[in-house]
Amino acid sequence: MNGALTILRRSPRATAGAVIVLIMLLMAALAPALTSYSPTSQEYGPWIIPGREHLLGTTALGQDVWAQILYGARKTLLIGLMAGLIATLIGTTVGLAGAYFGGRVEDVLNVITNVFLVLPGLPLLIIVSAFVRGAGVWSIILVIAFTGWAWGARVIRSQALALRNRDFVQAAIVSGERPGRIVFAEMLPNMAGLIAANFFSTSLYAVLSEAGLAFLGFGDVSSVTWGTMLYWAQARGALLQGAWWWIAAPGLLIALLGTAFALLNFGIDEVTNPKIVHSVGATKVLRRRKKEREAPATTGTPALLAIRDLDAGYATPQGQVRAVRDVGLDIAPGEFVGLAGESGCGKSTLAFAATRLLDAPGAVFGGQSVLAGQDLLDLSSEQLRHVRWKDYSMVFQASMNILNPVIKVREQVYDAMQAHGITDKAALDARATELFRLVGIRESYLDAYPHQLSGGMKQRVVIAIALALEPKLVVMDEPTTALDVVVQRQILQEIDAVRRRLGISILFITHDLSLLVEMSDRIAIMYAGEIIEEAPAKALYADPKHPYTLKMMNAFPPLDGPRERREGIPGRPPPLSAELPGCPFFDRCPSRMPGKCDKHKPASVDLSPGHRVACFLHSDAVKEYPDAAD
Amino acid sequence: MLPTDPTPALELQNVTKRFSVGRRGATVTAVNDMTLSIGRGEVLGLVGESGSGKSTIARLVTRLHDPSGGEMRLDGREVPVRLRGRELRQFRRNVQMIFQDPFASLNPLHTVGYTVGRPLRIHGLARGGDVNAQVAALLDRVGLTPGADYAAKRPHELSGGQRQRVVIARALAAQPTLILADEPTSALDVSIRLDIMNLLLDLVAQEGLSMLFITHDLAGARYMSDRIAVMYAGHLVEIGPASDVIGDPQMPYTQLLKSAAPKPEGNLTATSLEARGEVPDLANLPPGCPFEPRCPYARAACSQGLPQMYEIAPGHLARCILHDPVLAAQPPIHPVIAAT
Repeated sequence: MNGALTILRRSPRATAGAVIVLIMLLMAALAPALTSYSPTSQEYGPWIIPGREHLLGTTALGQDVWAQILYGARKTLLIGLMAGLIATLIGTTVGLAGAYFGGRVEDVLNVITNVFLVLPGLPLLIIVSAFVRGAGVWSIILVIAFTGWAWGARVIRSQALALRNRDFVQAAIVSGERPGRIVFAEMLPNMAGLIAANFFSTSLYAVLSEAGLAFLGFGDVSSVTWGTMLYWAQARGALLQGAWWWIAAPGLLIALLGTAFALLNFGIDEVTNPKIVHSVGATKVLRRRKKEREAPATTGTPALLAIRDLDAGYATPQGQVRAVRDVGLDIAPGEFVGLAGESGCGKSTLAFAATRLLDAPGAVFGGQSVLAGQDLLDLSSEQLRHVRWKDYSMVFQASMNILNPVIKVREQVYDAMQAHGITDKAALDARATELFRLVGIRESYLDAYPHQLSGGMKQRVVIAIALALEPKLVVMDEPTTALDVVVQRQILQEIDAVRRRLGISILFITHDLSLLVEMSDRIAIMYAGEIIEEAPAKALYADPKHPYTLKMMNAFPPLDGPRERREGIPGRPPPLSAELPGCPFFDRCPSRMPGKCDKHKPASVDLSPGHRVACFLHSDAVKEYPDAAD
Repeated sequence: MLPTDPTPALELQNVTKRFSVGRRGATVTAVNDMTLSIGRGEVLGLVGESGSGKSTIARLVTRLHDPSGGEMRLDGREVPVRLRGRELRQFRRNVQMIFQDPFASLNPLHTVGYTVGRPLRIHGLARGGDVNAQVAALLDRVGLTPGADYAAKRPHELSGGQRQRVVIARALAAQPTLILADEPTSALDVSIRLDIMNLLLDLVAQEGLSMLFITHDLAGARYMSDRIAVMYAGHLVEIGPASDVIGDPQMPYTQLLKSAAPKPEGNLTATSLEARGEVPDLANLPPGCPFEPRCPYARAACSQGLPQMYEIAPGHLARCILHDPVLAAQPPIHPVIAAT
C-alpha cells in the first residue's frame, strides 16, 4: 500500500479524487446520523423548496431529497465500486491469461474480448437489464460488469505481453519459477497502477451506466439510488414544476463522483507514467559569473569554443545537483576533442549545458560558453535558433530516433537547410546528395523511409543532417555506442574524413577511452563533474598522470600481449549532490594521501604544454574558489 | 584451464532455430546447424554482432526457446527437444543465465534476498531460516558484503555493478553446472566491467562451473575465454583456442571484427577495415557463405553452397574456402571491396 500513499503524495489530482470518494463513503455510512428523515417515507409534503426543514427540499411524492441523497449514496457507490471490481477482476484475468499462455488460449480470449469491445455498451445494457428487470442491485452490478470488462482486458493484455518479455520475467522463468508465481509474484505487482486505474475507470463507467439505466427506467426503480432519483424527477416533471433541486442534487453528485474517479485515474497515470516535460526554449541560465580566471590548456590558436568556469546541473526536490563543476575546456578550429568519463560523471550535462540544450530541471548555474566570440549562454531563444545548425550542431546516441518514420529521408535532410533560408529545390537536392556521399550512404536512400534503413544508416543520416549547414562545431554524444563495432568504425572513419575535409571542430563524448585515444587530437577526462586531466591524445595514452586516467586505461583488456589479470576500479564515484572538500577520486584512489587529498582540492596545473592535471601527486597547488557571491 | 573430464558440460549438435516471421509461414533461421561443445570448467567465448544468433544460443540452451532441430547434451545426457513441467524445472537448475542489463533483469519490487532466495526454495535447496543464511553466503560470495545487509535492499538502492552481482548470485543459487552469460558487462560502466569479469573467472575456477560467455567485444572474449567461437548470420564461422582465434584469425569475418576493434596505439584513419557493409538480412541470406557479399577474398566457390569447417591447427577451425588449396586457387571475384 506504499504505492497508493506515494500516488496521493505526488498527485494533488489523485488526492482530490480520493477526498471526494471518501466524503461520499462517509455520507453513505453515516446516513442515519446525518438525517433523521427516512428516504422512502412520503409524509413530508410535496414540492417543498430547500430550506431549514428540508435541506434539499422534497420530491413530488413528499420524500426528503437530502435523505434520498444520503441513502442513495449507499447503493450508487455499491454499484460503482462492485461493478468496477468485478469488471477489473474479469478483465485482469482474461488479459493476463491471454498474454501468459499465448497460442490458442490467447486467440480465443482475444476474439471474446473483441466481440465485447465492439458491442455497443448502453444498448446491450438495456437489452440485458430488460430481461433481469426488477431483480435488484446485484443483477445491475453483474450486468454492468459484464459489459464493461473488455476494455480493461485489452489494456492489461498488452501491458502483460510487454512485461512477459522483460528480462526479469525471463530470469524468473530460467530460475524454474512455476507459471502461477510468474504471473502473481513477478508480473501482477508491476501492473498494480494500471489495474487500479482500470478499476477507477470501470467504476466511473458503472456509475454513469447505472444512472443512465435508471433514468431510462430500467433496473430496479423502486430502490433509492442517485440514478433512480433522476428517473423519478424526470417522470414527475420536476423541471416543469420548477423543482430544480430534485434534479440538481443527484445530477451534480453523479457528476462529482465521476470526476472523483476520473481524478484518481488521472493521478495514478501521472505518477506511474511520468512524461518528460519538454522545455521549448533554451536552457535556463540561473546566475552568471563574469570573472575571468585561469584559462584552460590551449593549443596556442584562439579557441573556437571556449567553455569557462561552467557550472551546471539539475534542480531537484532534494536540492541542487552540480553535475558540471567549474569546468574549463577549449576547442580549437578543426580540432577533435574527446571527452571521456563514466556514466554519471557529467560529460553529457557539460555538452548539453554548453550548447544550451539542457532541458528543465537542468540549468546553468554560472560560467561562459563562447562560440566564435559569442557567449551562447547570453543568447535569447530567438538568437539561439539562428546559431543552432548553422554555427554548431549536435548528434546524440539516440539521434536516429529523431527521424520521423512517415516522412521520406530526403524531406528531413532538407528541413534544417530550409529553416535557414535555403529554398531552391536544385540547391537542396545537390546539397543532400553531396551530404549522403560525405557520410557514405548511397544517394538512392534519400527517397527511402527511415524504417527501410538499418540503425547504422539512420545514424549516418542524422550525421548528414548535422553537417548540412557546414557548422563550425559538431557536438557528438556517444553517436555510435548503440551500433555494432564494424559499423561504428566505418562511421567514425567517415566522421574523421569529413571533419578534416571541411575543417570543422568536433567535441566527441564517450565512455570508451581506448577508442578516443585513436581518434582524438586532445582528450579531457571527467570525473564527478570536474575535468581532472587534459592532454594531447597520444601523450595521455603514453603517460597518463592522474591515477584515475591510468586506472581507466587499464580497464580495457588488450587484444594482444600477455593475457594477465587486470583490476577494475573499486568503489563508485561520489554522488553529484555531494560537496566534497577534497579530490573526488580520493575514496577509490590507490595513491591517495589522507590528510591532504581529502582536505584540499588540487588545482589543475600544466605539467607540459597542453597536458594539465589536477592531482597532488604532481603539484601541490590547491584550487582557489572564487567568491561565489560576486 | 583446459577440460580434463572427457564428457563436455554442454554439447550442441546441428542445433537450428527458425523463427516464423509475418503471417505467410515465412521463417528466418537465427541459428543454423550449430555444433559446438563446452568442456567442464571451460569458458567458451561466443562472439558476434547483433543479429548473429549468439543470444539465441543462450535462449535455446536455457530453453526460453525450443530448438527447431538438432541435439543437445548436458553433462553427457541427452536433453529432449521439448521439455515441459517438472523435467524442465529440473533441467533449468543445471543451466542458469546472466542477463545483459542488470537494470532490467531484477524485478524492481522484490528485495535482493527474495530474488536470490527463490531458486533455493524452488529447487528445494534450502528451507525456512536456512534460506536467509544461504542467501547471505551467496551475496558474500559475489562480493556484496555483508550479505545479510544487501539482502534487505531493493534494486533501486544498488549501483549497476552491485545489481549485476545480485544477478550472478541468483544464477549461483540454483547450483548450476553451466552458466550462460549474455553480454554480462556491456551495460556496465567501464570501470567495473573488469571486476565483474574477474568475479566470473573466479567462480569458474573455484566452483568448477562451465561458462558460455557471449559478447561482441573481442578483447573481452580474449580476457575471459579458453576457447572462442565466432558467429555470423546464424552460422558458426570460426572456433579455436582464444589466443589463436584473436591472435591469428582464419576467417575473413573474424579478421574484420579484429580490425574494427579500438586500438589505442593505432590511428583511426590509418587502420583500414578488411571489408565494408553490414550484416545481411537473415530473411535474405546469400546462397553460400553468408559473408561472401562483403568478403574481399571471395571466390566463385563461395556462393556455391556453405563452406565446410576447415581445421587449421588442432582445435582451430574456420569456415572459409581459403583453407582449401584447390578452391583458394580461384581468382577473387570482388577484390575491389578491400580498396574502398
